[in-house]
Amino acid sequence: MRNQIAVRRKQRQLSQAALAQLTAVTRQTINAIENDKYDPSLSLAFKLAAVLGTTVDELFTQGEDTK
Amino acid sequence: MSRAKRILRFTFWTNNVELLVLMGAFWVPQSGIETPLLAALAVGLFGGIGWFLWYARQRLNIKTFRGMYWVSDEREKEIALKVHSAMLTSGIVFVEVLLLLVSVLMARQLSVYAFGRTIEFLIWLGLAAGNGQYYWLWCKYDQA
Repeated sequence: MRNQIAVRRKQRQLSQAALAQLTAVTRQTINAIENDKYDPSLSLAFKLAAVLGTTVDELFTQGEDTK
Repeated sequence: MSRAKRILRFTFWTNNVELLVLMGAFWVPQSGIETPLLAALAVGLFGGIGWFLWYARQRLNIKTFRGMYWVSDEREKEIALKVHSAMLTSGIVFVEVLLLLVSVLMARQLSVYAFGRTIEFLIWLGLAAGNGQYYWLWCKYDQA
């Protein structure tokens, strides 16, 4: 699953650590999601979308799995 | 480094120390200086447990040892479940191999002492391997 988290995060001038804090996960988890190493749960996906001011379907697209 | 990784590293090394203490305890009956050595081991053990609890609470911020206390989010929980699943399989294989080895050892008609020593060492080896496997698997699944 591909995602736009890194792009959206940078647009909002947030660090991985700041985004992690806002979504109550670890920085390593944000890094893993951005690098397509981990697919977040639906609940976390909605949280990420809310914090980044977008929707889940804009944030995530079905793509080639790199895991 | 994440909190889970710091706790993992800490428990890996404290387990290694504990295994060394156990190895030391195995050799006490042969040493001929049982009382002073056992006393030293007991003091070391209680001191070690006290230090472990202090470090866990003060430095690693562990409030409770219940459940999966070391994980902080869903990804770490998923890693823990993968590791535990692999460890359960390894544990079952270990017990099966141990039972097989017990049969082999019984066929060799060892003395009770030699038999006990061998079993003791094999279980120690299993614990040491399990400790290493847990750490290795966590690092493997945590790579991101």
